[in-house]
Amino acid sequence: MTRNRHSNKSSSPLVDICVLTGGRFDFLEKCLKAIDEQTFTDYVVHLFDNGTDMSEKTKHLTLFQKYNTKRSENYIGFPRAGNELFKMGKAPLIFMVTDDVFLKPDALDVLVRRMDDETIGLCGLKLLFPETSADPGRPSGKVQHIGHAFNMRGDVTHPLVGWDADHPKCCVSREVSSVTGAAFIVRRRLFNKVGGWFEGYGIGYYEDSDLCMSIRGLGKKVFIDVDAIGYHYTGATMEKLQRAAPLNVNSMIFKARWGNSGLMQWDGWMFW
Amino acid sequence: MTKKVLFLSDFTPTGSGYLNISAPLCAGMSDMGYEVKAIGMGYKGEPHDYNFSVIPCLDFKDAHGMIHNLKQLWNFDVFVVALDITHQIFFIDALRQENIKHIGITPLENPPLRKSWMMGLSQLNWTFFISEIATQAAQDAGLKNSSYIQIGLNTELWRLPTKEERENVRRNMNLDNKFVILTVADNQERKNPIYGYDIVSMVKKSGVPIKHIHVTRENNPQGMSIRDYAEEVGISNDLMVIERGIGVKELISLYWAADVFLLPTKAEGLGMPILESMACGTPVVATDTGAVTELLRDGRGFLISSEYNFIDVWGNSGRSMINREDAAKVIKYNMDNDSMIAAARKYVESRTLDIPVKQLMNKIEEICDDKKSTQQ
Repeated sequence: MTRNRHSNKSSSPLVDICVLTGGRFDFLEKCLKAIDEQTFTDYVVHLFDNGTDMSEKTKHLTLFQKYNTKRSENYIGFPRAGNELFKMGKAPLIFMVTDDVFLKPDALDVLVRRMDDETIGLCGLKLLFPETSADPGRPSGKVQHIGHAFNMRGDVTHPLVGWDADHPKCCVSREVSSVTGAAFIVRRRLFNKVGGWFEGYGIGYYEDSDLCMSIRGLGKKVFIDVDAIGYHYTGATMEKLQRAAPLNVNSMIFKARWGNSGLMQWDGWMFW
Repeated sequence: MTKKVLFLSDFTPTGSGYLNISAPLCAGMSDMGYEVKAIGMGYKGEPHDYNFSVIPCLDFKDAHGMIHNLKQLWNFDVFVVALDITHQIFFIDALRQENIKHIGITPLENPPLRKSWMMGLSQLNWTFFISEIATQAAQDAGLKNSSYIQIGLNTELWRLPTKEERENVRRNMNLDNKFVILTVADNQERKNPIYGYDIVSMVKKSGVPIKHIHVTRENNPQGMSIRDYAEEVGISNDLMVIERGIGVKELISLYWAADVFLLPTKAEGLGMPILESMACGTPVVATDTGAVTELLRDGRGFLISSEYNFIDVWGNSGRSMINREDAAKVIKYNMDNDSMIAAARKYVESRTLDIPVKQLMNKIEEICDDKKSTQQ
């Protein structure tokens, strides 16, 4: 791995913003611009390059120059990359964001204030499909994520996907079973205590729910704050890599790990 | 005093008859102050504007788990199921050990109400039947805790077109010189699409320039190959198949465009499309069977007698095969009938949405207050 250290913003920040990129440089530029425009400024940005194509990366090197960066020569999957990424900083709060998430300017401020509540270990935000989307599978401006819920079969589901962002059901900040790993804030000491991302999920999927279950297992809440908003393209890296997602296998791993924990309870009904 | 009602029914957005019954009931109860959560079979989380919750549910096994969980987590006062009798009995059996007040809302396609079904339903706190003939059949079978619930229709939405509206719709659909026969029915044996196409073919052969619009589930695995049969009887060039699930306004415009609504059904528990057609001013030609009789009698539509009757293959219910020649003759000669259209419209207007809501809520109050349920 190679590391390129640049200082940005504060030297003892409250928040490490950890950005993970798999080579969607078009999105990365937008993602970083949105971070630059945050009203909350006590942060440092760390950028992990998860095996991007160097010939393509050289055309976008300026994106990396402002930030503390690290690179893996090969794509090592989301959980392992996430562990490497989070080690890059020491701030008490970690804000994780993937390169296809574009925050509204006050999102980080809202999340940091939410974390004043010590009972909350990890907090997600309301994510919407991009306003510019013309993909019917990514309906423009509609809800992409409002927290995860378990259905009756113990599957992790995304309730209210495709609903209007302003619908009252989509405007409830609440405790949830888990949130997406695309964007969330977590207490570093809790993340370290649970051993970080579980790398048994390989290239990824379900590691975010797994992390949330670990946090909940410590007696802390996983929360969603709907006043913190971002836009999420979804699946950008897999789209670029043209890789299939090991959803069924990882679902089985997840259920095997947490099935008897008492933490998997049907809670989908509360969203609807 | 407010009540918590757990409602279960088919909430498939793309054309479930039960949705048209259940959604207004749930909305009406919510308007009147009840808390209503619906377990939506077939509902996958699509956005909606209901004033009550609909929880997606994949199958009956999941539903059973949900009911049990919600009794603990939400402690509802009463459980209402709006589904066929066989599905009612599934839930009766599944919830036998639970102390849950349980009401059923159900059709009976044709008498009689079989003894085993009667005994199953007798375990409910109350059964509402959605047709008068079914209610009578239940009484005849000895089911005491049962009564009729009169399902309504929003007649502000389902209305008569203006002359201009009808002309515009027909012009936009290139139907100006056509005699339009509309059928809105699932592609399944009970709805008898084969006889429907035979009737349309007969009308065409008599010299009428027809267009047959069939709103249906074309590729229902249990259905017929409608396009193959249309070709066989010579109406394939005159057939427009529209997949069910179109928007309400689009469906209303089809009723407006039509000259007649044809339902050659073998048996019918209610027949919401008949009520919709009556509300939109389109004359109805349908089999004189099941609930169709009470909807169209007294000059409100054309009741066609059967060529023959039989009992369905499961031995459960009567089936009537519409007389195709009679239906074709009626369609050809009798569609100009303003008094029938007016009578039909007046009848549907009397079936207001608040009536079944009040019936259901009164029964819920009675059951939850542990008053002895009386026959209505």
